[in-house]
Amino acid sequence: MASEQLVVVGGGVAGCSAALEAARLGLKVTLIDEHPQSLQAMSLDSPYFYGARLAAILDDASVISERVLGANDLLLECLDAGVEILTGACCWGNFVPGPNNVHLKNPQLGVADGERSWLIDYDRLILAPGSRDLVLSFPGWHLPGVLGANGASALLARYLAFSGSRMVVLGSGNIGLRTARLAIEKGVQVAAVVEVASEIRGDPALAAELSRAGVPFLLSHTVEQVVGEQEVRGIRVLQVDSSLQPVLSSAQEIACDTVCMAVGVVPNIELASVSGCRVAFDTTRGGWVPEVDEDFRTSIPSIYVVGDAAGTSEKMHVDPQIAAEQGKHAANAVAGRPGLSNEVKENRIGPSEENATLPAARAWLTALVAAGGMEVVVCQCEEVTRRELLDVSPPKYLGAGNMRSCGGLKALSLDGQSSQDLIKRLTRAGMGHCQGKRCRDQTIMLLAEATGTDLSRMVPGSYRVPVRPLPLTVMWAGEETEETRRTWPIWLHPVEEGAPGYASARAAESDRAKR
Amino acid sequence: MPAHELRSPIVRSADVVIIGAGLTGLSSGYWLAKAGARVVILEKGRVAWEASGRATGFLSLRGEQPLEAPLAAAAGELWTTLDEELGYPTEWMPGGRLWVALEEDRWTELQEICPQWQAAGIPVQLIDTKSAREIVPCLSEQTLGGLHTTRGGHANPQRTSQAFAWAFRDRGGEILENTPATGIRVEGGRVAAVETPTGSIATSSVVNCAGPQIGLISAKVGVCVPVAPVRLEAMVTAPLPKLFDVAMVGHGLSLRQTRRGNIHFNGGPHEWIDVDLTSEPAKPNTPIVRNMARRLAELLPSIANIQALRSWAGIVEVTPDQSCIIERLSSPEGMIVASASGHGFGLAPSIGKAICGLVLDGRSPIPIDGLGLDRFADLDPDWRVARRWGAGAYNT
Ligand SMILES: Cc1cc2nc3c(=O)[nH]c(=O)nc-3n(C[C@H](O)[C@H](O)[C@H](O)COP(=O)(O)OP(=O)(O)OC[C@H]3O[C@@H](n4cnc5c(N)ncnc54)[C@H](O)[C@@H]3O)c2cc1C
Repeated sequence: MASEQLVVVGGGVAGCSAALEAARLGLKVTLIDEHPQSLQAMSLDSPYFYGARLAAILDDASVISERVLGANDLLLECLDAGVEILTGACCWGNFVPGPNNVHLKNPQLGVADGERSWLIDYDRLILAPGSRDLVLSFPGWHLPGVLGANGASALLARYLAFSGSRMVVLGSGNIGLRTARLAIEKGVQVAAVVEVASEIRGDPALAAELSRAGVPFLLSHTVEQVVGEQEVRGIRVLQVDSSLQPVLSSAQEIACDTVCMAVGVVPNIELASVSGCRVAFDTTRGGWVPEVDEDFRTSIPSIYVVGDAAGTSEKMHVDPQIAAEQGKHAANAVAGRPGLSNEVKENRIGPSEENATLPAARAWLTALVAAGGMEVVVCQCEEVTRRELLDVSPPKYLGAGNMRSCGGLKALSLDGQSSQDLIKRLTRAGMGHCQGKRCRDQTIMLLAEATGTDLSRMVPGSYRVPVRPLPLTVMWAGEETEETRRTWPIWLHPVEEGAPGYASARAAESDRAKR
Repeated sequence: MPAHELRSPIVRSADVVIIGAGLTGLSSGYWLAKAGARVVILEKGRVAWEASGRATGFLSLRGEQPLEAPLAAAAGELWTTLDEELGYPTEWMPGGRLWVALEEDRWTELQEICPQWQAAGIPVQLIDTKSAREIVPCLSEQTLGGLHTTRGGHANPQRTSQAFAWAFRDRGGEILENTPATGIRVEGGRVAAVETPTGSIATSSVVNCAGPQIGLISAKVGVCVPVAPVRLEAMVTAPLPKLFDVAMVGHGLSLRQTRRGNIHFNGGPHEWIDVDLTSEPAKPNTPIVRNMARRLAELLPSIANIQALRSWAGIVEVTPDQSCIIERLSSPEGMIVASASGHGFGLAPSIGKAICGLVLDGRSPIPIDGLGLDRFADLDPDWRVARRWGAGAYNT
């Protein structure tokens, strides 16, 4: 097994721990991490919700590279251990031989940096791409200064290029609390942590630490709107009653230049999904996740998923050790050793612990809709509002306003109503350049709510290659062979003489000649 | 409301049962329901989830085939008022069609095709590089010339399918999703019912337009409909300002700019496959998407920096001579078979009309002579393999 090529995708704790362990066990390992990202990639809010106020320094590749790599001790350890490391390279696809793709002889990973793309062969793959921001909307969420917790954390801790000075955090789960603490550490003032629930959701000790640092907690509150014209100047919040309805007289404005959405993060399953790994809804792991066995092996035997991408939990948000153990365990499994199974199994998110993210997000969404209404945009790229989504309205640019309304979601079959893909194709919510990263979760929650369908029974939108928006000139096959060029088909080839069907094709031609 | 569970048909009988809720079935259903028939469409998966929701949207791609010219002409007419007819937008864009050549041999081909198409009554003309680049300003300077017609254009396949589905529903039609047809009951040489896993639906007319599965269903009643399924890949870019209206073929791709501004394109090497009767076939993308991206960038160099956003694959069935099959069988009586042979988007409105006539009057209002099965009477049973179109064959 030692001669096998292991590729690990993701240079976070889970990925680095897997790579390190695998290298120690004598495997040939390549680790791919998309950070540092280019300013252009970040401006597409991929993979995190970075928001529209990116600091100019992010355009200085050499400074940023030094900072981002310098901030990742584990990655440097991997380097020392002989892991081949590709940074600033995103993995945008994974092609696996299988049904209706027997022409492909071995699995290939699609990788790209800022200039070109290429394919990497591998024997085993460990996916550790982490999580992405769960984004909900409210009036003003498009303004520069609104971003997600993952985006904020990356800018604060890794890129050292955070451009705000006074932040309001939405959400008091561990993601919110962790991001608030990080902001304070990096010299950003935290003006408030706003929480829709009536109590703080995250770790009490961490919350107490923030309180001691002077951070006010606004419980039972929701967002009315973000204030500002060119960028965030403040946020208006409203108290909510026990049924999450806003109390209008309670409005207050908090001055800030940054609003950080930290309602939750969700497993980043796009690569597992495009690979063809079986994905299922699992409330204990935070939504749709790849099915894995006790070794973190997916339904495709050569592919493993570890860390947040395999499922998140409140505990994992504050204890990186869990993801690290998962990475190590998978590395041992790849190397064919029984490894650390007992310890790890305990550390894994057991089915006993309900993942808190989705219920929290649901409460938030209820309160945000009650306060903000239906005209709020869900999909920024395609400018689709909540109402247009639920009315299944054709996009505005079609100018079809005078045509018959289809009758909303009820006009679709039950299967149609539960299909995020169908509604995406009809309304275009999720079709834009962020590839649905900013609207996917809100969209499916709204659809589930409106049709009275349990989230677990919805059919989430498919993920598509490339899982990062890639310029054609980057994605393209620079090394295209003469053979591929020469044999590129012109659909379809003419019917050749002597071929079955030739006679009837000839008859058609003589028919033509007669006319 | 589980998406993948089978539901028992509420309907127990119908005037017409259509198998397959792709564009062919939806269009047929629409015209039939409009004419007053009680129609049920059975769909093994979801409406337009297969080829019909995945097509590029090029109208009448191969309507230039003489056998299909009447269908193409009728479709051209129908498209001009289709939005009003159905009451829902299809994103129809009557921008004409343009074939361009970047290489000498392609250019020679276009020059040869031109008089043939003109002879078939299609108003095409050869145009030089300059004129081609006036129609599509971002077109490569290496373009040697093109073949242009103001006829045809493009539309959005998903929206068109849904427009037909809604208009069908508005006229009383019923679509049963997740309800595959598993057999056809024939009594005394006539169609009597269509069977599903949850019961059968009595009917005297069945339209088999199950796309790649058409042959498997026909085989249940001993009829051979020769088709070879093949997997194709397609892609779309991020939106761009409006660049061109025309639907285009060139550099091994077929493409259009959508009303939103995205460039939607397909083409390239393809894998021949087998399908089964009731399950959803796998539709993986392959590394060839990189070569497709390159082709588009070479064809339209000034927009080569635009991002590719998504790729997908779809499955079409192709007949031995690549022309449609549309026939009302005499045995069993009451069964109609229809395959669009991989170019059924643009022709869908008229194919549906033809089928409507075949069901209700026994004859099509649009000439479909020569599109019957008898043309394959002498076909070698191993034709797929002989043609290198057997499952697993690649790019042949
Ligand atoms: C990438 C791509 C690009 C294309 N581009 C173009 C283009 O630009 N122009 C053009 O004209 N054409 C194009 N086509 C072809 C076009 O999409 C098809 O020819 C057309 O959609 C066929 O419609 P259909 O209804 O006959 O088949 P389908 O859309 O395949 O529908 C058949 C339906 O039958 C169902 N079915 C199968 N078996 C059963 C069963 N046992 N019981 C019940 N239901 C069953 C299937 O689930 C399916 O929904 C393209 C196709 C692809 C894949």
